Formats: sequence, structure tokens, C-alpha cells
Amino acid sequence: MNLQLDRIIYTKIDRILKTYALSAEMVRMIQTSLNADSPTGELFKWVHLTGMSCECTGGDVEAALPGGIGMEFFALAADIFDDIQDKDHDDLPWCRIPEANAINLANCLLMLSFEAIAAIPDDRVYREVCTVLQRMGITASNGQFQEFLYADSQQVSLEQYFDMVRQKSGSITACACKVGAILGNATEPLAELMAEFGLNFGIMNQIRNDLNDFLDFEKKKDFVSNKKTLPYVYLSHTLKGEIAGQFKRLTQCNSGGSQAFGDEEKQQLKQIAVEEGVAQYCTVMFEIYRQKAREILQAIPVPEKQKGKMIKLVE
Amino acid sequence: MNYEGIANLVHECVKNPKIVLAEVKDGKVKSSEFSVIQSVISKDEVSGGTVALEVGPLGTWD
Repeated sequence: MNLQLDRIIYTKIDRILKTYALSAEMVRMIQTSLNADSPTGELFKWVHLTGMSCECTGGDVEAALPGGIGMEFFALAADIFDDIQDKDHDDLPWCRIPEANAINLANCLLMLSFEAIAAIPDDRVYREVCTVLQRMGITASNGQFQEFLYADSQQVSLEQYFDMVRQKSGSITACACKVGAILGNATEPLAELMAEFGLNFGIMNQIRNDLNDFLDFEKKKDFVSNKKTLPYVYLSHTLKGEIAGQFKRLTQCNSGGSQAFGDEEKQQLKQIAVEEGVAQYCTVMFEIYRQKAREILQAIPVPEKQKGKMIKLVE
Repeated sequence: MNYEGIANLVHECVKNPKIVLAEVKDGKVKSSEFSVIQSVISKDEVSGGTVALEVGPLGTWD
């Protein structure tokens, strides 16, 4: 936790929000929403990831702030859209306002992200960061669209799942790391390596979220929404015979249908998950992507001390 | 990466804990990936079958 840097970030965000005379209610919603889903209380994780990448490539963390704040706004917009689409996280601020207001809030945050990066003083660097952010937005949207298509599909392969996650989640962390590297004046090959690290880091996060959310019936609706998460796709691929039939019947339960997904069904799903190795498989894939991320960091030609914070992320 | 090969191998190990992992290794899974599978499965046996996915330093990225 870096209190001094967090104070600087607060000040800069405040300045951006005041620039356009946004309504007090809009400003309050944005300020409440930033960091709302941080379970440990750590603030501005996207600013810090961008800053770490900048430092890793030899830059100064303050130089990374326009890009980092841009990422913070963009990622929050993406989270809001995601929760609206998934109807998740009833406890978060944007889920407690009318859906139309939440969509509008997310739209505003997308625009604010470009406003934030407009503070980059060098025109060439500004254009480069803009391009990276735009491309990430397009890729992430495509990944999200894939996720919707897969929800309606009977069968999704593991290859398809990982391709979707690369686009949906991996692209955002890749973007933060690449933007940080660009703002650290990294060479193009080095910026690409940082992006690749970010990609693998993002996939690790998604695997862990998928596993932790699979049986979290209180807060998440992944299973009843037929969301093709890693546990779901793994079970679809590996189950055979009678147990496959049982799993299929469970997938056909939903909260509004004739066959309810009640306590008995939840227990059955939990039993299948335990007996068929869902946690083991997700852990294996998490570790494989962690190894990839570590290998990329090892290959980055900078002093060990400079990449220390990035190494800690994947230790 | 052979996603299906990894999934099949992990599933085989979970369903048949007594198999010798080295004997079911085939060319479809890379050595580095196979080592990860070995490590996770052996931890699973030690912990009595309850593998927890650690939060660790990624906790701030939850």
C-alpha cells in the first residue's frame, strides 16, 4: 500500500471529475464505485499495475499515472457492464441503482478513461497509448460477445474457452502492462513482452475467479446462467456415462424454469465438482499460466530489482 | 498447449489415485505441464484431497 501515491491518484481523479462539471450525484457514484470491489482494501489496482510495469521497464511511476488512471476508469466501466450482463454482485454500488443509470455511468467512465490519458504530454506516446486502449476495448468486447454466444451453446471446447478468456480478461491486464511499458519508454519488443506477461496474469486471475465463483451460489449466478466457466467446460469435456447425464440434468435447471436449482441440486453439483477433480484441474491450469508469466519476467532484460514488484505478483 | 490432453490426464489421476503418473504420460502433454500436474496431484494426496486455490499475492486482484 502506497499512501502517498494513492493521495496523488485521488487528487488527479478529483481534478478530472471536476473538469466537466459533472453532477454531484454522478461524481459521488464514481468515487463510491472506484475500489468498491477490492476485497483487501488495496486501492487503485489498475493504476498500480500500470505503474509497476512502467517501473519495471525503467520509467517513473508518476509518468504512468495518466495511463494508469485511464485503465482504472476503463476497467471499472468493463466491470459495471459485466455485472449488468451477468446480473451479479448485488452488493456493489452500481448494482443498487437502476440498470439504465448503471449503463450511463459505465459509458461516462469509458469517456473519462480517454480524458485521463489526454494528460500524456508527448503527442506520439499519447497516440500510441490511445491505440492500445482502443484495440483492447475492441478485443475485450469481442471476448465478452463470445461468452454470450457460448452461454447458448450446448458444447464449448477448452480451446474455445481459453481463446475467449484471452480476449475478455487477458486483453485488459495486457493493456495495463503495455501502457505502463510505453509510458516507461520501453522499446517495442519490451512493451510486447510486458503485454504478454499481462495476458498470462489476466488468464490466471480469470481461472481463479471461475473456480471460486463456481459453487458460490449466494453471490454468483454462473452455473444457472449456463455460463461456460472453466469448471463447467472441464466437466462437460471429461464426464462420461451416468455422471455426464446427471451433470446435464443439473445444467438444465434454472431459477425460473420447471426444474428448480435448489439445495439438493447444489449439493449434487458440489459432489460432482469434488469427485471429478474440478479444483485440481483449475489449479493445474492456474499454475501453468503462472509459470508462463514467471518465464516471461525472467526473460525481460532488466535488473532483477527493477522487476521485483512484478515478480511478487506471480510468486 | 494441448488443453484436452491436460484435462484428460488430470481427470485420470483424480479418478484413479493409485495409478503411477509417469506410466500414463503420453506425448500429448509437454514436460513442463506434466511436472505441474505431478506437483498439484501430489499436494492433493498430501492434503487429503482438498486442494485449495491459494489467493496469495493475487488477493488484490480478486
